[in-house]
Amino acid sequence: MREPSPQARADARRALDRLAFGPAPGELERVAEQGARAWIAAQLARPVPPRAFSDDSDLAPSELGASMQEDPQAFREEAREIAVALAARRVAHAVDADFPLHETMVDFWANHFSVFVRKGMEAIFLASYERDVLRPFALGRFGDLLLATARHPAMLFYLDNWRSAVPQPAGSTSFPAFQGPQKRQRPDGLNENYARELLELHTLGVDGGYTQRDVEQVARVFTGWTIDRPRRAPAFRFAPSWHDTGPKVVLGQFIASGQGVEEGEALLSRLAAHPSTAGHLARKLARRFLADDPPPAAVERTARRFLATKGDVRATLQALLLDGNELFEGPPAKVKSPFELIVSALRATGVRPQRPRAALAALLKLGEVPYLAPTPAGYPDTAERWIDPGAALERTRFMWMLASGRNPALSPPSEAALAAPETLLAMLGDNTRRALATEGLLPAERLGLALASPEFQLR
Amino acid sequence: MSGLTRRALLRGMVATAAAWQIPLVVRPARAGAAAGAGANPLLVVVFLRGGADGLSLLPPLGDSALERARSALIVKPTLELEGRGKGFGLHPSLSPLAPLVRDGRLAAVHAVGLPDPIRSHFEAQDECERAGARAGARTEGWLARAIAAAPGEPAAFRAVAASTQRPRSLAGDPRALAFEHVEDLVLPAHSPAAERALAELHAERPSSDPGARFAAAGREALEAVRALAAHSSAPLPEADAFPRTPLGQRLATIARLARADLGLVAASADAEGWDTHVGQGAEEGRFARAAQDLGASLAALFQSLESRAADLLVVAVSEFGRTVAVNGSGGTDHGRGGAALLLGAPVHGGRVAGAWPGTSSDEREDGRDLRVVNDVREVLAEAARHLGARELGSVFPGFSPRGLGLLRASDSPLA
Repeated sequence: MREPSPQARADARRALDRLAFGPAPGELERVAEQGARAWIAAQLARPVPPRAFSDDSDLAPSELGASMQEDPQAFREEAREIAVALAARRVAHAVDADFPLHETMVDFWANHFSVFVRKGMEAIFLASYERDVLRPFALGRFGDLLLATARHPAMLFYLDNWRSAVPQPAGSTSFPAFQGPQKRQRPDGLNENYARELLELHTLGVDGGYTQRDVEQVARVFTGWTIDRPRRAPAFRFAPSWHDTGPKVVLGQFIASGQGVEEGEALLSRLAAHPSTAGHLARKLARRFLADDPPPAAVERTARRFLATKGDVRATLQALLLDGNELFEGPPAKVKSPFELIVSALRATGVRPQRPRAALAALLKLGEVPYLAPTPAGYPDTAERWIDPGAALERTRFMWMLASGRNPALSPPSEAALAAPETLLAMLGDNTRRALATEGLLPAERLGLALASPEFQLR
Repeated sequence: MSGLTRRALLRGMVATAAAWQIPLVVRPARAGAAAGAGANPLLVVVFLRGGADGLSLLPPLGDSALERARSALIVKPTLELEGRGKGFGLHPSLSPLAPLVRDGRLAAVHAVGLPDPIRSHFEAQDECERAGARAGARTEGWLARAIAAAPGEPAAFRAVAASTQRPRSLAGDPRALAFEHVEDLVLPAHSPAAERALAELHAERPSSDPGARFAAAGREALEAVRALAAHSSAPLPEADAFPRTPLGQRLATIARLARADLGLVAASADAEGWDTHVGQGAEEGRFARAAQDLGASLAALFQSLESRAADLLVVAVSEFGRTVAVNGSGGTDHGRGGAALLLGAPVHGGRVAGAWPGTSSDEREDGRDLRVVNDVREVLAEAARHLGARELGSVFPGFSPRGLGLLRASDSPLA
């Protein structure tokens, strides 16, 4: 059998670096033999695996909600455990990905539709948010994903829409909206938090052509979208008596009075198909897969396909990754985010966390734990925000520790990685070559240097 | 200059030197230091992330329009400040700062914000921290530019951010260090060979090398580690009692560095929890908790840095204020005019500077928000002046600060 050409290997490396958190042992050779483009096409054609319920038993929200009222301290501890388990699982899924592009897109959408696990009872909703929203819709239609996030308690709670209602006329009395043990005080009026982030972050983008007036009108559209039994059996519920049935104008379009939940659903469809949304998402995807300042032609091509296919994520990715050659051009220019860096190091070296917190401690120090982004904008995706002296030192310290094999929370690195650390790098600059050739280095130190090298920070 | 300032400075130096065995070195005042800048100015910028409600932080007194718009959120203040023809209070959770208020070392600016009507967290923070990014194509942060325009030489610990990521205000300063714990600033390598190899790994590369930028950051990190190790073989002074909150611990890190005489000039820390869309409350609730953290953490900072009292200016700003009226969830939504605080001995305090637009419906911006009548860059300009930055035009492109007069004319204790 013929050896793959250097170009085939370079293309395979690039595809794995950008779509799969870097190669695991043996993967580079397999993809090079198959051909990088064929491998990407195969990834794009693969069906998303059915939802896995079996491994979620430790994340069940049922007990948690009850404890929130009875014992807030116990709730906080349980919520912390859930946050750790979810984040550790995300790392584990990415490290041992059977379908890496799916994991990459789960990471992308989790960041696009970012929620914050430390807000109040958010932890209750997160296992379902990832299992029922992010994973099944990650490679589906954007409009379906958008609707699923809008209806999910994780988003309704995080961006406060569950507490938004049409203001009552002066003098009327407030009644609890729901019967049963979960009686809740009716909100007194609008909350525009979700409406604003929906337009700014989830769909049109901050320069997408909406006004403060549009934000207020969109908030009126989503009045009554709330959470049923948030602490016991959280689910979407439309509360008709909270809904503003008056006429509205959103982005210049009239919305007739007398409608219910369907006007919000129609608005989401309209936003999902909006050219500003296409441009916003195309730019974000191109920034993720190509460069901090992606080539305009690639962005335009991707946005056009998004519009033409009504937001088909696979077709959109096909346009971005395969209908041009930008993915394979130029040196590796993207700085890995902390999550990408740590996952790629675990994949490359065979090291596996022996305790859930083992990889998370480093992610915490580097500032990118899943579901812990402090703002609804999620984590940044440009080198400027991830590279500074403090980050450089922290990255070096983690890699050194990982390579040393002396941390009981991490399994030791593979013999192959220790024997030839330079093979883990997509390229090898003169400085790094000289550094690795320094006399008197131990094998673990050479591996630590390779992983801490500027080359390994790039993809 | 006041006698208090000199006493505090001298007492501080002796105390610091005795307690931490640091050689007592009195730095000469730098030639050309601008008025307002002490001999060794120290600036701490606290960014209130999320849009702090200025009307709760600094409630206008006896404001019937405000009471009608948000009766459930009306804060009864315990400390008062004089505005221009208008009285204001400080949120009671800030009472740990009472000594600063009494000594006239706390000033505020109300109805402050960005000239453009931006109500997006991300965009407003970006605009505030770049301070003029829209005016020009500048990508650096205002603090990076202010440090560059200030006298003094670049050094490893000149500018730090007590955070996992460098804030946008320090973007463009290749040396600015972002880290949460001083203990993390050590090399992992112990063998001489590994240390040599790490230096080689981060040695200067041609700019065409895609790894050049990371290598440069690595070099700065190695230099910081070396500077810290050379400074003293003893551990850095422990911070005094700071709240065990993220903000408290960040300020504790800054205090430790400032006390160690490593040449720290400017530091940045974030305070979270100000995006009070739900359950904002008045004397209790989400806002009060955030304010309490801020008050206690800042009080601890001043306590811990008493030895640097004459040098220390703290500036607290946020990206925007919030709606005048309460929303449907007992909170407030993104608004425009907010409040900023300046604290420390260099402050000509006890008052609320700048104009006040009023809170009635017809006085509001877009009928909903406190109007922005004071540019946030005026506040940042006072901070830049404190650093001794000359040519503020280069720090704030497209903007000429008029000057709020919030710094004492000359407080340089060694001048």
